[in-house]
Amino acid sequence: MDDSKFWPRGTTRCGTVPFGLWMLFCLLMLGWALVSAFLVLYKGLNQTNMNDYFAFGVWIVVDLAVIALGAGAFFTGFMTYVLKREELKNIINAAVIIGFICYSGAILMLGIDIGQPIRGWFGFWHANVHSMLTEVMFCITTYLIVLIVEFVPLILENRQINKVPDLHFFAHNLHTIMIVFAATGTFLSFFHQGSLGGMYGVLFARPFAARTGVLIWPWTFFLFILSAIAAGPSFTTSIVMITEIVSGKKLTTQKTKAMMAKVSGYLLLFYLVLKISDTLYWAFVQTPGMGLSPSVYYQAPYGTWLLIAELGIGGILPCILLLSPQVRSSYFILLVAMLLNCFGVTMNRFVMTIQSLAIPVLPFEKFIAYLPTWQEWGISAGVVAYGFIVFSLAYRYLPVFPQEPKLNPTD
Amino acid sequence: MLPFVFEWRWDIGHGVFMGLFYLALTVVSLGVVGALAMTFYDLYSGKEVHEEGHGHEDPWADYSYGHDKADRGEYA
Repeated sequence: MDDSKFWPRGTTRCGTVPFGLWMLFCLLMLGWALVSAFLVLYKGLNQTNMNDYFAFGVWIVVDLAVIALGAGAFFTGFMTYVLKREELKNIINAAVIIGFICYSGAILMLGIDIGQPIRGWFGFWHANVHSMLTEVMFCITTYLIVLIVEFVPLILENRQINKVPDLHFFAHNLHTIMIVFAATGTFLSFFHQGSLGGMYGVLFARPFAARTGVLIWPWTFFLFILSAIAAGPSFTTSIVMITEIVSGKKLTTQKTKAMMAKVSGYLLLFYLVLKISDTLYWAFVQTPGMGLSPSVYYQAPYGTWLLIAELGIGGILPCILLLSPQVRSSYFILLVAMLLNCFGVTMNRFVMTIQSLAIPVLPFEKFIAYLPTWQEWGISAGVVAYGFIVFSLAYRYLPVFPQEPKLNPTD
Repeated sequence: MLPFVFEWRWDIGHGVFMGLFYLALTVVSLGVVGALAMTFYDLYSGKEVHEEGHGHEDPWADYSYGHDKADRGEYA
């Protein structure tokens, strides 16, 4: 079957057989997720290893990680449309698609996590306006609407769809007012990224997570925003680079990637200064003030290696690399630096979720570990497969990268 | 969520939270309605669709993201 008439103008794509085989692999992963979802919805949350200790498990870790990594969409949109950084128009489409995948994937996963998805609307209808999670729920769903509005014109610009006058003009007109959506998305994302962190900071019964703060916002509110906007551009760029390696094509210039890396590097530096200050205050002032020692937080299997992995390997190291002009001009080292940055934010979400809950807070409790069941891994793999499918289809049929025809003239 | 729903209170918390929520929804809705209105205007004013490169030499020239001012083929 020849689908070349649907490819973006001036580009080529791989044959339908290798693409079909890749889709088949993704669909198998999705099948694993569907079996897992059926079991969880039919039999209940006893299909997971969550319990009275671990009310949050791998799903929340993945949720928080993909929402942080998807922050590339709002922050790149903010820099492109509000701050008018023209270079970033070469990568904004990819950022929007990745953001859409991350947010829709996170919401799909939450639908399973809440156990009773048909009652999910209760949180909206009977909103507790003093809850951090209510704010997260409202902002994530509203921001997903914004991402859909941003994604629609790109779909309508498919080579064949764009021939329909109504759809052509609608896509064009949505583009002309994109600044409105970008600004709204920035506002919504800023607050829900913060509230996700704020949720941990206000857990006063969990000394590992609880923090002091300013007014109603604990420091974790600001740290989550900063870590997300530092990692988001890195994630977007690393996905673009992996797509380049897989497709064997140049999709954006090194200048665009270097600019994203520079933004990521400086934001990561700002975040690390505040995060390390927060960690030192928490370890040497706040924790002793509660009558505890930091050593109670780090027990097997969640030892101090987690702190080193999060702040050292996933923080200080990529920060040094991203701030180096030599690294930014080197393709593979730049990719490694960006992936390390993404690893760091993922580790942060892991320790704030799992390690926080592993630490005993009552005299009769023990320090325990958590390991997900295959059903929990299945749902998580489903989000990854869903992302692969959406991004692969978008790359194949939509004009995602404006520079591609010029950078690959033999096509 | 709405004033007639159980547990709604006319206080600052609900005012700020729900006010900002409905403001965001209103802005997004007005944006989409505005784009639709401009589309109807374009259709009924006889504006033409430029296919296959929109009449320009560059196949991406009329593409709203990343065209004329964006760098092409340059390396840092």
